[in-house]
Amino acid sequence: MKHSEQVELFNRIRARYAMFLTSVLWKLAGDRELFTEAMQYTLFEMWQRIDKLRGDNAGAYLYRIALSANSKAWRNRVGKNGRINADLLCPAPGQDEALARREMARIVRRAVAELPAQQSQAIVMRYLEQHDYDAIAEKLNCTQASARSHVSKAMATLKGRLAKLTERE
Amino acid sequence: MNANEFKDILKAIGNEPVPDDVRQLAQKASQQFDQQLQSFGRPSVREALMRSSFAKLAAAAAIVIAAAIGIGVFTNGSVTYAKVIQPILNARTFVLDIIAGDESTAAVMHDVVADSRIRRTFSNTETVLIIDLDNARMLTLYPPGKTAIYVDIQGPVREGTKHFVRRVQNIANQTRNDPHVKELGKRQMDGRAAVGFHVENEHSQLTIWADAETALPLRIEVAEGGERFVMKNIQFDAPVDASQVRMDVPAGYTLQDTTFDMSQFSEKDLIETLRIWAEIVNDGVFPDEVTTEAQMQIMPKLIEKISRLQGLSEQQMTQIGVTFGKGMIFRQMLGNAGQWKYVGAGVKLGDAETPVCWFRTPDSQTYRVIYGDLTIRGATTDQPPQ
Repeated sequence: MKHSEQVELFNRIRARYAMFLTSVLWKLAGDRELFTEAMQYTLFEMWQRIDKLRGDNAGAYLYRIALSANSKAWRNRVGKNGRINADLLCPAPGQDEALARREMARIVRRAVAELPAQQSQAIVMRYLEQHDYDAIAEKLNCTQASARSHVSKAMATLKGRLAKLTERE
Repeated sequence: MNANEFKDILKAIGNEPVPDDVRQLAQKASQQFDQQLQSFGRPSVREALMRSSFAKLAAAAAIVIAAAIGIGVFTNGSVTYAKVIQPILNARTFVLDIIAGDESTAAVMHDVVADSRIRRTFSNTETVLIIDLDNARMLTLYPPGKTAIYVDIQGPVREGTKHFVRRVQNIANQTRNDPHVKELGKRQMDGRAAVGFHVENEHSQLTIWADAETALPLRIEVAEGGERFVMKNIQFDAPVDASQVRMDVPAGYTLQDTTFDMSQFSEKDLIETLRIWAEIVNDGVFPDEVTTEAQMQIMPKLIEKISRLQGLSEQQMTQIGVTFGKGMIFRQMLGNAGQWKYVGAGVKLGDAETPVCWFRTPDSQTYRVIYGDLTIRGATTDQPPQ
């Protein structure tokens, strides 16, 4: 594909999915710096893989790109020891509830970023985008039962990761 | 946390609307991507990330860069020495490149000097400094982020800056009729025949290479305080557009309401600089050298590393940058007016037995020694540690 064609295709796909990308990445990041970084990674990957975004599967592929970009941004964020304060997992009495919930949301977001790709996609579709299982099955190209299974496994993995984070502290 | 709470949190995240400023951030990221594509024919995610880091930490970057101020403010070259120094002493404007350290690797500072105003740009960052020496103020501009910051440079920063200007001119003035001016002979420089002169005073060495026909200096080398700076591509009395050195915030820029105390510097700042350099930049090991050249080289990396530190507010990140810059100014003051020796190359952070550096301030009779664990001990003699 010529450079000019690449640019044209890129611009078309970006315009079509701009709102979707902004919404998904913001929900996954919940933090302006992380969001900006994830968006930059997403645009970069879109450009790198523009050939694969030509067909009908562009939306599904873009999903994977966005989730992968979010994971990368989160990996950059985690400090050298990768630790998270246990107090945030079990808020102390009197701790501001809203603050505690914001911190919990941050921890859950980080855990989602660490999920395997398909599980991450399933959990984002089900809970963050609030799709029904028919829609999830269609986007994941699987049966409704498989979609339920992916979501269920993702939830189990998430709980396990949060438990590990608690133990580590 | 039980399953329901967990689902509730996920749903709550799903219900969060996208704030307007986040939509703007998305547009900005998109515009930056387009600019890279237009400029380079390809996007660079690393560059984009660096831009973000600098935009966010522009205030900190300003101070880290400000720490380099004392070294570079210049100034102001017959074929006789007296004729060569005339432009240095008499020109009102200068446009020049300044390089601290190894010319093949060091970052280049480009200065436009008009009386007491200087516009300074750098080869390794897009930050622009406009320095008003008379009023001891500095305007820091970060074009990619359209941010502006005023920094007061009262005290040693301004004095250091002024002293440097004065020193170069003083060396030239003091040595105008010096019988010890050494003639270095002729050599080819940038395709032109050049003649060289070398003079020294108690603290500084000055070498000037000038055009053999016009006597205009082509290259000036200054060695002082253990560091070496080269000035080249010098234009004397070049026309300077007043807007280049104007201290007003340009249209379209957002002024950040940030102030810094740049009037006091101490050994505590130096210790923190060493800590930041070893811990954040150099993976727990002290650097090979603590010089302006090294500082200029690590600056982008430092800003990037600070911006990636987890759990710090923007203000805390900025403070790290400020502290680093202040420590470097203290170290330059030692180099210029006191005594300073760095021996920390390869020493691990935390090593309580191995010295990293020692120094003596101008008003002290004894040396202070900083060890690898960043404790500081005073030497009992007026001799430097062995």
